[in-house]
Amino acid sequence: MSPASGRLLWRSALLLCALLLALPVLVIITSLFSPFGPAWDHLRETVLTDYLTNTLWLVLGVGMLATFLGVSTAWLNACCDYPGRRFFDWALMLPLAMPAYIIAYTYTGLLDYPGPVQSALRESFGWGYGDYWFPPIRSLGGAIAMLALVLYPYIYLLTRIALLEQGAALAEASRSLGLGPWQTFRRVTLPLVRPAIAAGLSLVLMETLADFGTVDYFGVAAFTTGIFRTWYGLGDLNSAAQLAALLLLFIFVLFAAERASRGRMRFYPHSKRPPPRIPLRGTRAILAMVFAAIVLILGFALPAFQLSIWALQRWATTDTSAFLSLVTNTFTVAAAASLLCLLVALLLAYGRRLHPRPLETMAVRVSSMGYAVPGTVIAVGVMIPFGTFDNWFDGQMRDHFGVSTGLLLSGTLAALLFAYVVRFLSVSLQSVESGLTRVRPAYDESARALGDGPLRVLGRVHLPLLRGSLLTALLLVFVDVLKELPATLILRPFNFNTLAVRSYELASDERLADAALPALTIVAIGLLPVILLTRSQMRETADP
Amino acid sequence: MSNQLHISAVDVCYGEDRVVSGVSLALESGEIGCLLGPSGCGKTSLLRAIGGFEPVTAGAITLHGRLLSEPGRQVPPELRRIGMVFQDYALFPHLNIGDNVGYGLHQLGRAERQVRIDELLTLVGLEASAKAMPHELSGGQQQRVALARALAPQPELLLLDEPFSNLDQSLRESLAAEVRALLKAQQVTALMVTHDQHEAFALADNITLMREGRVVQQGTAYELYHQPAAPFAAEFIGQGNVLDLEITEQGELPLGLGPYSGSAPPGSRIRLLIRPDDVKHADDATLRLPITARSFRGAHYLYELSLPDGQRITSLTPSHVSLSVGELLPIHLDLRDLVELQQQI
Amino acid sequence: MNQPPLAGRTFFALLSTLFCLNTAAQAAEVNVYSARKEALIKPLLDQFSEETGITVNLVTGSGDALLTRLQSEGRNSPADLLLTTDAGRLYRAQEAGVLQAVASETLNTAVPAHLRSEDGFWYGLSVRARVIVYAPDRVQPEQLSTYETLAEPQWKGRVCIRSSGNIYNQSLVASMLAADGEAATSEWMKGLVANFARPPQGGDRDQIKAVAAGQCDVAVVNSYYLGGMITGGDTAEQAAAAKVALFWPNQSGRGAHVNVSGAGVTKAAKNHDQAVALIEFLARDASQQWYAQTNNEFPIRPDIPVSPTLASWGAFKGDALNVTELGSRNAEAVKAMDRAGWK
Repeated sequence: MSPASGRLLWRSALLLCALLLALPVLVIITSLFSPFGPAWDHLRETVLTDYLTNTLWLVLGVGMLATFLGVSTAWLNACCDYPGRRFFDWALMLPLAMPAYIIAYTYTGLLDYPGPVQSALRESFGWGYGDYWFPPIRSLGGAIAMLALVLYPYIYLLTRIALLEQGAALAEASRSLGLGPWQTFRRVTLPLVRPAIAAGLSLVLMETLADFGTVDYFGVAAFTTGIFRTWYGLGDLNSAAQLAALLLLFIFVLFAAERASRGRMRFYPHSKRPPPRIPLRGTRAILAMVFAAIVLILGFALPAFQLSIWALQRWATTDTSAFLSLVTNTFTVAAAASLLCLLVALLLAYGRRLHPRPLETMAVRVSSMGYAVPGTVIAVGVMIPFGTFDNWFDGQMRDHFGVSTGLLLSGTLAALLFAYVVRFLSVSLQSVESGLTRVRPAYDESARALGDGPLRVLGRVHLPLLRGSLLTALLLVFVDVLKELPATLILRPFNFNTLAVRSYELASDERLADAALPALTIVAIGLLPVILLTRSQMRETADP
Repeated sequence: MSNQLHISAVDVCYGEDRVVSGVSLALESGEIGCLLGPSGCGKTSLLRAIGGFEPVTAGAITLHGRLLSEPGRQVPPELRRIGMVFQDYALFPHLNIGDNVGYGLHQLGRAERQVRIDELLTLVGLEASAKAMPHELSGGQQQRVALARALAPQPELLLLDEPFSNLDQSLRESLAAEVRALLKAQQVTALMVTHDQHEAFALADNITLMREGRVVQQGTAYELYHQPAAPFAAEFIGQGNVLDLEITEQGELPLGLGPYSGSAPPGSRIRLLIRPDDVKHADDATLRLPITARSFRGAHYLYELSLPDGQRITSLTPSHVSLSVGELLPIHLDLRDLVELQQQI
Repeated sequence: MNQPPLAGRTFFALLSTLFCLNTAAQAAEVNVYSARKEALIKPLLDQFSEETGITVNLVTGSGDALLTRLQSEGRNSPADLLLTTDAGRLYRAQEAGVLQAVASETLNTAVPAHLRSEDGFWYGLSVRARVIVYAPDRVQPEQLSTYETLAEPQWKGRVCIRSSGNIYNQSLVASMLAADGEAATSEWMKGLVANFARPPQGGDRDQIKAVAAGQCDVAVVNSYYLGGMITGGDTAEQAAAAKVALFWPNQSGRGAHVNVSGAGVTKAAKNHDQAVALIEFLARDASQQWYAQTNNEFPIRPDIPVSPTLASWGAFKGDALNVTELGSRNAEAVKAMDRAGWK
């Protein structure tokens, strides 16, 4: 193959792939060009302000709380030493396996007015309703807490690595120039790990914007709940799509702001010598331990404990074979989707590295926007073009050949997997891209100079160097698909259920105890990749 | 003139491992010192102890009469008024060149700071690059930025950790001379760490040679070269032939090497340092030794010769004398700077 | 590569798994899109398969999502039957033109006229009543009469009800729009919102628990949630349910608000007869009794016997309003709730 035709092949594969993945999002965006129906007047006059302000508060609150939790735990575990640090190193990742809507169920069970905590308070102090103040769990604040508690690991994960990789030299340089440890942290360490924090934060915020389960369960009128209310309540899918399109614009602005703020800075991993840890002793060591333990207990241990109790209560009534098929289904789609995502991410990221032109860059950006889009919206964005294509193709075949092909894509596992890729590509793409930027261009050039084509370079140079990033991409998507609910609910084929679907159906029928076993299983399956992920990263940033 | 830097009997340990033991050292104001030695000799650890990045477990470090380090007590790096140029420069990748240089000037007002930044960038010849980001500069330019940044707050002492090791050979010596001129012009007291004797010679007034955490010898470059105190010094600095010889009954060197002017009695064994440039080719010489290896050095050949007792000696011979391995090279020894080594280090 | 055949076989096996799951080519089967949760319908469907030999394939989901799926799949949709949990969705499906009329004498006799569409597009299959529960130690039943009176000042800070995003509340408001008109209903909602003990949150069981725990004195909930708490086997829920009593509102007027779950045959149905057979099966007395027993919903006809729990609540009069109205007025209801500030 000549170099020119090879390049054309890469480019067209990349652009085609990106276009396909952008399709659902484009379907939503094009709704902006259809006329704004009377529902809009109603929305503007009544609830739109609520949606906007609540969503803004939610994003701000989750962003700040998750950043605080993620950065503080990352700093403790990367820059300090305290008893139990090795345990917390990986254990602090565990909340990632806990879907936000499930932790919301369990905390509601625990902390609501009729729950055990408040009941115990009332009994021991003889209080009645209205005699005391207790933070209401089902509130905007509660939703912020729930989301931050399970989403902070994204920031923890990336910041911790960045801190370890930053090395000691820069901080020492700052100290030698007359700045104290805190000034150094503020002026050197923090700005340098900022891209890592920002990358983690953008994952957190996109998950927050896309969250439906938690805000719906807590009755918070956010943008996502508004979309559903407009669709289900007003029966106006077009206005719902327009609301979703507005949400997308919001996300675009977020992206652009982050990129602009990074400017011309370039960060390469700096020194090989990991920074010396500050040994914490006495009270400080205990405080560090207690802090890490509280984060872990609130984000993981307590909800997992509550789920286990519920699951044990209902163990006897569980239909084992039906349950096993749920596990198999869940595992299969999660594995297939994470592999697919990885392949597509490699194609896009490497294609852009080969041809870093504006068109390619733009295409990659657009194709990874699905992460911030609620699963239901993506499902609709998949359903409509697929249905249109299927019926058009069927019509053509009937007209010209007299055969009906029926639905080729709609209602198949393929459609569901496609929706997963649209939704979660961003996760694997970020991981692969950040891995690729660490591979110095000189490696590509020397391999090319030694006579390898781009594909062989990818196989012989990048893949071995990227092993860690690829594993990360694979596992993160796996965990995400495991937890995914709305798109699965809408797009799955006949007689196909996943753990998330089952757990949701029972929970939404207000049967929390019955929902516990599938929910706990999601967490348990999710634990394995989370632990694997953490282990592999511990090795990569091997510290003594 | 008072001692600017005074280090007395300092130990530095990593856990149980004592990497610096009992090192003493003094630098006068405006003097440029150098810690020289192979990797792992403890020179960098000592430098980091002076900078305040490692504690000392014995001894004391004082600067201008201020006690900086002693066991159980150390002034934090930011309060020492000691600047440092790091091996890989450690330029802050998120700040441009001007901001890097101005980083340590946080106590100055904006205008004053800008003046000082401009002054230093001009000093190192990078006034046009103030807005560039570190990754946009070449290695030599980054090195000069690191120097400017360290000098900006007018430290009482400047530490340089292998400052030229990331540069290519051709750049090293010219830059070393440039840096020396600059430091002298600014009357900066400085201490450099290097494993490269040429850098040490080019930059330092005063060299401390270290090995395995101890001082082997202190002195000027000339003293270290011509009066090494130990075989290690002789071998590490310049190329030296250290020969084990027994003085003949006649009071001469054995193997026909020539007369002996030292004080050792006949029959005793001595260790003698002979520099290759003192092993001179002479057509009429009576001592003719077989060539065992040779390497071309431009103007000279370095011949390795075999003495009758099997010891090897090297000779720097003008390259018009071109002989092959196995042939005999007529030589005589220039023993005016005869160096006898007593210490068995 | 040495083993293309294996790789090829795997690939095609994968392809066929991916694409052929919905090509329903077997003889006797019926494909169901169900808004009713799997756990609440599967046993009946299994029984149907056992009796008739017809395989039932099932996808569950929210009513609107399933409706959108039906629409986008168009004439090629594999679905034969749409099952929903409220009349509004059935009405919307009928409006969207994805259902077809069914003429079945069996169904017309089994299902009362006000619980099905006039032209046979869909049939109600169970009745869900929205009732008032109260704390007998703080509220005398004589204080209660209608939904409307809950807006009176005496209930200030004493009413619990879930959010306006919930379809049961939307249907309730739709029925009141039909009965009382726009102006009166809006006034009523303003009064009701002013009486809330707490911002709307949680599901119906949570409202019942809040009454039991003393957070509020009355709550508006669907009766089967109370039934579920009594028969569900969770001791904490049973204890909570024991602390509340049920009140049938509007008995001297139009009757308690009722909605239906129901089913309609899709326009694209390829298994038309099996689909009709399934609806008929679900409407027959034995199935109706199962519904009442398992889900604590009421059968479509009052003459079908119910469980002791349901019987203990006494006979009641349900709103005779044709449930089609609930669907046609749903959007209007949501807008009115938004304007009244019902979160």
